[in-house]
Amino acid sequence: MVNKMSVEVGDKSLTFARVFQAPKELVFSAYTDAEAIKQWFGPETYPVTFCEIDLRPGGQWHYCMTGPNGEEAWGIATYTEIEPSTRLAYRDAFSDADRTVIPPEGNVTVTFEDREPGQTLLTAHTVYPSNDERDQVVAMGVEEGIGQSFANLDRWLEARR
Amino acid sequence: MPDDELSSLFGALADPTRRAILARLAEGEASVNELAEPFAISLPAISRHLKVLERAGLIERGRNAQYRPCRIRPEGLRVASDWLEDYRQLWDERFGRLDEYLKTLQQQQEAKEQNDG
Repeated sequence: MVNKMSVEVGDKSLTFARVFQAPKELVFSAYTDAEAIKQWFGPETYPVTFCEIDLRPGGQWHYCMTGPNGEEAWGIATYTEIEPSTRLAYRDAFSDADRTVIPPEGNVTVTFEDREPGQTLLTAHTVYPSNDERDQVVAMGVEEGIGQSFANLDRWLEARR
Repeated sequence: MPDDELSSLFGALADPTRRAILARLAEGEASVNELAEPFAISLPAISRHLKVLERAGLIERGRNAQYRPCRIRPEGLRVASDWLEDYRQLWDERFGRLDEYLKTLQQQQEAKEQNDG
């Protein structure tokens, strides 16, 4: 069976969910361990090159993704709730190297639920201050270097010249 | 990648007034005066919004000097409608990598258990 990600666009919110073939303790640790984050969080063209995690309420997850020409995209999350292997909540935003938050900030809740034995449903639900701010984050996320969208945009810009 | 052009497209769409203008133009071409009507802002302000939209390739203006109707450029909007698609793909690929990583971890764990046993 192929596990597919589901997407839900709500008022001021976006939700991504997917089932993983691993126990929830392992999925949770992959989501909260700095070395693990480096393995999967950043796009291939923009891998996570720096990651520090202080996993406690009020603690921060500070990371940097680096692009092919050395472009840096920093992000910061401040944990508000931690229930080991079950639930994480944090305020999430772009930032700089000095941990200065660049608005808008989204309130993210990630839940880890048992499915079949050894399966976990991961749901990442983000609520933004407004629909405009949600759309802005979507646009900024696209700028972070997904080859596909850049290729599309390049073609489109080429056609305009 | 021309970052300035990318930013101009995203910047153009990030503004609610400009999105309302685009929504109006989706119904058909309109003059600057017609576009200004529903908004409590000045004609020069509307003109500035139109310039931003034009630079971003989202609209085009007629050549007639007196009456330069604004029209939507469907190609520009298509890129815009791909927005969530691209962000969705970012998360889909991210979860795909997490899946691979979890598989690798579990294989390593199994191999270790076999060696220990």
